[in-house]
Amino acid sequence: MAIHRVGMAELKIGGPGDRLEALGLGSCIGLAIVDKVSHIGGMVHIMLPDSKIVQGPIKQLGKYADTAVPELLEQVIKAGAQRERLVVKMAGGAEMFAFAGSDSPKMAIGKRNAEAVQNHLREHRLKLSGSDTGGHKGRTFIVSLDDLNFMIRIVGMGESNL
Amino acid sequence: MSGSVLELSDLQKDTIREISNIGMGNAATSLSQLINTRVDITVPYVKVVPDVEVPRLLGGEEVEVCAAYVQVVGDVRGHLVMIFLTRDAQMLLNQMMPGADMDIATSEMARSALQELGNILASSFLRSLADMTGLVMHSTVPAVAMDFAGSIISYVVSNMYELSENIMIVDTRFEVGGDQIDGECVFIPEPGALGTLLETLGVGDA
Repeated sequence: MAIHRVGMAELKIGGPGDRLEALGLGSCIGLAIVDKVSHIGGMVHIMLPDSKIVQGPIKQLGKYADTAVPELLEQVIKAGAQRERLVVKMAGGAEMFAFAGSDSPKMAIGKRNAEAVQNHLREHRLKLSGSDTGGHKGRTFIVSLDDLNFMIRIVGMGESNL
Repeated sequence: MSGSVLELSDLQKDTIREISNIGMGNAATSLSQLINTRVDITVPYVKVVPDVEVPRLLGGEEVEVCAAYVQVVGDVRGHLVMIFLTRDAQMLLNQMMPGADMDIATSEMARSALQELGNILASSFLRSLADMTGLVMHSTVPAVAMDFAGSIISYVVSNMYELSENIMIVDTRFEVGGDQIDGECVFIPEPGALGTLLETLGVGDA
C-alpha cells in the first residue's frame, strides 16, 4: 500500500490498497476518479479554472481545470480503469477569507474553480457522484482505494465521508 | 514584469530584502510595544516561486494556524498574510489582554483582537515602505481565518497565479519573547507592483 500526496498542481495515480491525499485544500479542488471494481484511481489538485492565461506550452496539466479533467481521465484509463465503472468526487473550492469583494466574480476563485471542474466533467460525460465545495473552510480530501472511502477533514469539524 | 517568467537580479532581490527588513522591523517594534515583550525578526527571505511549493513554508499543509490577511492597495498592490500557529496565537492574545481569558477558537473578541494585531503589523510595515519610496500604500481591513496553513496560503497565491506564472514572496519569521511564539509574515506584491517598487528604488533595470 502506498500513500500518494497530491500537492498543488500535481496528479497522481494509485492502485488497489493505495491512498490518495490532498492536504489543506483552500480554493483549490481535489478531484478523484476511481474505478469501483478494479480500485484503480487518480487524484488531481487543481488550482485555477482556466489555462488560457498561460502563454506558450502548459507545463503542469494538473494546475488548470480545463487541462486537468481530461488528463486525469486519460491517465486512470491508461492505468487500467474502465470508463463505465468510474466514480467521480471532488472537494475544495472555498473562499478562505470573507472580506469586501471576496465574493465578486473576479475574486471568488474557489467558486470559479468548482464551476469550471463541473463544466469540464460534463463535457467529458463524467457524472459527479459526490461533492463538497464552497464555504469558508479549508478541507483535506483523502481517498482510500482499499475500501473506496472518500474522507473530508475540516478544522474544528472533524472528519466525514463524502 | 507581467510576462510569464519573472527574473530578479541579485541587486533587485537585495533591495527588496532590505526594504522588507526595515518594514518588518517596524512592524515588530509595534507588536513589541503592544504586548510589552521582546519581538525579534529573521532577515526576510526573498524567493521567486516558479512552482507551487508555497504551503511548505509554514511547516506543512495541515498545520492549524490563525491568519490575518490584508490586501495592499494604492500605487503598489499586493497581499500581506500574517500567520501564527493557533496555539501560539492564543499565547499572543493572552499577552495582549492579560486576564481576558479568551478562547481563540470561539471568542468573537479574540477574532477582533487578531484583526487588530494584523492591522497594526500591516500598517507599520506599509508605512515604512511608503516612507522609503514615496509611494501610496494602504491596507484593507484585515480578514481573519483559523484553518489549515495550506488552505490559507494556497488561496492567496491562487489569486496571484491568475496574474503571473511566477510570483515573488517575502517571508519573515517573528519570534516573540525569545522563541516561545513563532509567527510568519508573507508579503506578495502583484507583478506590476513589483516593477513599480523596483523602479522607484532605482533598480528597475538591474
